[in-house]
Amino acid sequence: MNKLNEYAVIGKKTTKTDAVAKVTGGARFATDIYLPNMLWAKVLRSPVPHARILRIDTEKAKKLDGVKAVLTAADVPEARYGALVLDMGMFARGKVRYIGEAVAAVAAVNEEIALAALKLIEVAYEPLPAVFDPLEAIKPGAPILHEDLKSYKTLFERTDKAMTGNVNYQAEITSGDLEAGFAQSDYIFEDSYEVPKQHPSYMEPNSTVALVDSDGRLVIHNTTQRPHINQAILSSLLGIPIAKIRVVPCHVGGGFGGKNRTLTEPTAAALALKTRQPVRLTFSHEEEFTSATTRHSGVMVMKTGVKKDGTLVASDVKLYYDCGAYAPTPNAVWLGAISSSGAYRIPHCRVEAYSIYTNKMMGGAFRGYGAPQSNFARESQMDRIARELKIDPIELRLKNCLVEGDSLHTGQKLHSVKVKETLLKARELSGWGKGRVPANRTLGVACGIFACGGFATSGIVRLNMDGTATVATGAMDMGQGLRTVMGQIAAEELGMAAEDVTVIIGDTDSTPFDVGIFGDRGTHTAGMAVQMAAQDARKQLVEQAAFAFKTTPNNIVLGGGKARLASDPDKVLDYKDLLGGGQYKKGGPIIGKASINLTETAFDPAIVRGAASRMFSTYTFATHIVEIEVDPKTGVVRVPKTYAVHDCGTVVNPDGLRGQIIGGLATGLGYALYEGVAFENGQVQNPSFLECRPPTAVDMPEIVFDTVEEFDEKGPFGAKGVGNVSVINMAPAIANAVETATGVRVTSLPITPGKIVQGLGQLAKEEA
Amino acid sequence: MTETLSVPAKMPVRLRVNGQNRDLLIEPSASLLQVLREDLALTGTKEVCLLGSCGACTVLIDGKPALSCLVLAMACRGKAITTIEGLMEGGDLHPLQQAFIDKGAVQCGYCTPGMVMVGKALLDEKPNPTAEEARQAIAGNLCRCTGYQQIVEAIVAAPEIARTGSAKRPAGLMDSGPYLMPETGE
Ligand code: FES
Ligand code: FES
Repeated sequence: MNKLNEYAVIGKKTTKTDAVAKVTGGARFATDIYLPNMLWAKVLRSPVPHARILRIDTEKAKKLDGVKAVLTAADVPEARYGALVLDMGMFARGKVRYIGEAVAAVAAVNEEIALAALKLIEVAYEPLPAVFDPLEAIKPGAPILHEDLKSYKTLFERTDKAMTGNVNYQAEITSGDLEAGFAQSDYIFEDSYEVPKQHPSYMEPNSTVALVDSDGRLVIHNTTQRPHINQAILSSLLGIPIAKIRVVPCHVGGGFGGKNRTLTEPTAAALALKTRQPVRLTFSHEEEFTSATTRHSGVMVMKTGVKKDGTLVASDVKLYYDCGAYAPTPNAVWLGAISSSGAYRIPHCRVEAYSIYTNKMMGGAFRGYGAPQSNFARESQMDRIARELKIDPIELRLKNCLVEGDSLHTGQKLHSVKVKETLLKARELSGWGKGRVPANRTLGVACGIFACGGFATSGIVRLNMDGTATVATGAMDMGQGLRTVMGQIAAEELGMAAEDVTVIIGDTDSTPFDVGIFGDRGTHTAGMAVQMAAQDARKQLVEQAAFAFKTTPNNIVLGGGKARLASDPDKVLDYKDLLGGGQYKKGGPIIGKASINLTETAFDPAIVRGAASRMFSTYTFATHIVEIEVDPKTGVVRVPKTYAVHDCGTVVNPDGLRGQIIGGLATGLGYALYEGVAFENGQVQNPSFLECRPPTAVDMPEIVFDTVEEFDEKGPFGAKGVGNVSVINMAPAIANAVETATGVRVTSLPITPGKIVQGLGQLAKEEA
Repeated sequence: MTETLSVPAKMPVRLRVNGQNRDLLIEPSASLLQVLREDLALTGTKEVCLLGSCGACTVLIDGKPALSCLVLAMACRGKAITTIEGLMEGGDLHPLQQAFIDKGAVQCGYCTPGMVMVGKALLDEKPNPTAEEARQAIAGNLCRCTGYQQIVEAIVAAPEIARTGSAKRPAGLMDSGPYLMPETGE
């Protein structure tokens, strides 16, 4: 099904539209905005994990020379926001629930004065018992974070366990007959796994400049993955109509889900409204690590029934994800539940997924979104099963993996499933089982599935008088190259060169709605809307050409920026002549548009209860094989080589795809070996890149990368996403290789040298 | 009664940035990063950790890479400072800038200025670096987007671009000439 050869732009090397601006230092990020009269905002944060606020006195701070405004919860409307559970306000109200929670904010003429003013704010706290562990938090008698939880507004079908105690969001998936499944099984494996919080570690901190323009509209310049949702949240928090708010995002210095948040915008906006001066609020590096959002930490309990020959029969999974003190995106555990059966066919399944409050910083979205946790459990256990049943780990996976037409445990029937092909290709590339690896190296494998695409988006394609096109999408480019890919898609559809298409993103005044870029919906879903809008424009262009040539539309061929007569290919009109040469008489200016929602089918309520979404458009798959070296004395693991094979549908931009995948592997490597936000009584112990370090250039393996040929009929030109699935396999693959190399099974992340050395000591003791 | 915060007196300093002398009045404790970004509006140099741990603030001081967040501006008197804004020559991209574009080494771009400056320092010292040398050179610079591979490839590819003179004048408004109204026909 290789259609790549037919395309002029899709799949061809295309220069990233913003690359020149970014290599010359000209690209403007939100942190680069300095405006005349701009005030600097700073936030006073809770020093205690759980306490009642008895009193806040801001008088002294207000009197400091240069301070223009001080705000607390008392000064802003009592409104809450969140993706599924509306539980968080702009400032702590009545109670603080984690160390780092916003209590008050100051705007002053410079940063020094703003910081000095924070010290003058007096807050009296009455400490409350706190809980830091999700399993402790769901025990009877645990301290309760949100006493009024039941009264909070929610945007999902509540199960009876949802919104009770410290559980906010909850979901259950049941397919087949679990008891019968375990009864049919020859072996039952039961394991528990634990993972820490991982910070998204985008390089650019959260930052907003808010101002009130001369028309009295609120204008926000920020760094975000979801300008249109920012706009809606600001509207509901501040009580201003959506149309009176304009969000104009700057270049985004990395997001990875972490900027699918609204953190700095409301505070900066409230201060700007109060002072009528531009206000800038930028998180400090430390605030990033205490008061932004991280990947959810959690515990996964997995019980799996298997036949002697390795056939998976039954699976009972419990996911306890720690969302911290608020639940801005508890959907993570929903995505975790979807990925928790792995890329496998398991006839009898139950998943119970909990999002649980603790007195810690918030869990949010981060690349892989819920799946790195559950896939670490699934793929670690798959290797344990393979070892005990003495089956080759890849053979075990091949035996059970999903194929075209299979259904997931959620009941969703799958199309475009090439996980088997990724396993086979990765096996071949790595020389698995062929004794090709050097003696000091060991291989480990993992594969995975991730939901791709869906939700609402729209696109507009306008054809200009000079034969160029302007594309508008509300979807954001957070660096992954969305603008370039949208341009390629429109150019292909319109028969133009990529350079002749300009893509406008983000600005809520000039772009139509998109729900935010997450869950592999950039290329796939925003791309679909842009393609459909371009088709709409194309149809109108064909009509104009037919009018100009005095022929019928089916006699028109478009391509290379020209319209031709099919019956007489020498008759040619450049788009610029067609569009600029008075043809506006017929039909008016050409504007193509599309509004779509690719998640329209609900899950079967007999199988899924508490679904946080409708069915996803499609799924992406990947297999990763790592080659590792372990130093048996120090326990230090190195990963010199990794083989990555992806099922990503049609490749739209080869350089972009490769960069996405290698970047995802780097994040997966960090999750596996280095990163993990450490807490002591709710206090982050390692709040910086010095202490919580992402992988560097010298940590990275050599990467052998490939894709399997696939065409997803629901994606634009057959494309699917790749950003998330690239993250989810590294940790289990490395854990699996570590066990092969040392005999030590590490069931918690990160896989530190200490855990390996301790495990080796344990093994030595058992042998003695 | 309002209170007033006492601020240290500013001092005059002459800095040589991207080949130009700049006379400034700055706080003695100001970092070079702060002065570049806030006093000179050279915001290409990025501020991330302020701890010397990420490399995003890298500039060249007398040709050597330096973390501008850890250097006092006052200490740069009499030295030549080069920032990302000073790399283009006569309107053409530096070969390394072109290489970053060609190799797909740029994603979000927040680490890019620091990476390019470190890469340039390496190329000035070793005109034909190996991939391993390039990797070592950028080991102190964090990038969350790319996984570093295409950055390494860009540094290795830059010498060839320099030799063939294939660094381009960036397309964009500056090259597009005056905009004329197209013929509107009948
Ligand atoms: S900002 Fe200077 S090293 Fe990070
Ligand atoms: S390109 Fe985003 S941090 Fe390097």
